[in-house]
Amino acid sequence: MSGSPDRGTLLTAEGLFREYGSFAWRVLRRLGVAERDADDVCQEVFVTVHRRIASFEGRSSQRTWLYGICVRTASEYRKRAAHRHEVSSDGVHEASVDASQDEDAALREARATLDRLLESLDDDKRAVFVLYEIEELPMADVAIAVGCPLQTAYSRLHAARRDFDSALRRLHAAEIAR
Amino acid sequence: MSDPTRLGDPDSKSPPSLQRLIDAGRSDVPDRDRLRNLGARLGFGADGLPAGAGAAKGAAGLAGGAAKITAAVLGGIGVGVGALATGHLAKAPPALVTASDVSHAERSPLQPGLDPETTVAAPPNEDPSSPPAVQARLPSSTSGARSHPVATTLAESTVATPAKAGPVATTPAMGSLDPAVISGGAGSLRSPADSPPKDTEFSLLEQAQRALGGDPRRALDLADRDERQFPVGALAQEREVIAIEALAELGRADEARARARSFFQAFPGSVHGPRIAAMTGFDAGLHNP
Repeated sequence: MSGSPDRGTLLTAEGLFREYGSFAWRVLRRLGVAERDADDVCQEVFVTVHRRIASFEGRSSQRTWLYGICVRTASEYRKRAAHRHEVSSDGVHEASVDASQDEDAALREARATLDRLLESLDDDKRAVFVLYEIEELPMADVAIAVGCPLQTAYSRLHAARRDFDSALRRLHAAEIAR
Repeated sequence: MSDPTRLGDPDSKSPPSLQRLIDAGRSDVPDRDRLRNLGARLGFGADGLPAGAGAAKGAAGLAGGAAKITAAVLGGIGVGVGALATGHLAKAPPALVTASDVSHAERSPLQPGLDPETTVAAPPNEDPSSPPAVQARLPSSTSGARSHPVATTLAESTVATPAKAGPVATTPAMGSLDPAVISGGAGSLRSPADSPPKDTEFSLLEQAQRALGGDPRRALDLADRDERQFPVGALAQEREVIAIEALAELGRADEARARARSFFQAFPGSVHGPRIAAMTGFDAGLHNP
């Protein structure tokens, strides 16, 4: 766990953006924010950071706090978007279509596959899985970011790995059968 | 309990195919231009990236000062549109920044975003890092304040927003939202290169904010247009504040109240709650615990 930083070392919202903006964008994508909406939702995250930073209490690192905002914002986005259209499949599709040109096809395909597998997880498990496996946060910070007890976070990780593995096996089976 | 080995770690027992998937996820970051644009949208100077990347470095640094004040003091639309203003101002042709009709107190939050050479008679103590100059502007100064109802500091909205309905419940204006400052009086602060090809969420709300007070119908139209174009936008709360304000100005109190009710349901705990309560007669305490 990162511990409570000295108040004097705290970053401003702008500092957080400079330091972690790209990570925030990335975690939003892995949490199911469609490519076309990623900038808007990332902006929403930092507007929230603006609103809340004065009340940041230092109970976690600012990075963990920011990830927590990302998790909640992505969750709200998915709830909102679910009323309009099926976000997740759009996101997966777009990831393979709109990715920047300098990414090679294999990488795009891998990300699309990753997102498809992540879609097999429910939101709670997905958040823990993404923060731990991809963002590489310590589990103690993951628990803080998603707002659950540490033991619950471990349980979710365990279940998420199981579900992810099942989805991967199904995917392989489907590819073989093709 | 110690953390388990991650699936993507080289010493994990995961199959290479799985490790590649995880690696692909880890390497997925927005490109520099995208991040820069995002930073600019947020008002983090013309360049949201570390210094050295652009000619607007100085302005970006100054706008950063504004961002600090925004974060510390502003709650509400001042956050969103104020950030917009600083973003534009950081890139603004200095000669267009006049805002001569704005009092020092009103200007203070935005001044850090201006080129110091063009700042209009800023008091010497108007240091971007001295939020007290801003925070001291509580409603006791209402007599000298212009009416920019949506612009409200957190302190203002929670401490001293007049508890009465209607547009007369004005709070002291925050300079970050002063239309004169945002637009230079002619809507011309953006250079052609900065002008978006189509409406952005920020630009729509900026126009809507400007229309408030003079043309509430237009403000409402713009807010509704924003809602159609950006239903999941980052500034939904700010849009609703503008719409509610416009309805109140149009005398459509019932609609303002209905929209306020929806706002409290959608955004419980919003920093705009007290402001909306004051405009519509809603009791923020009941809806905004």
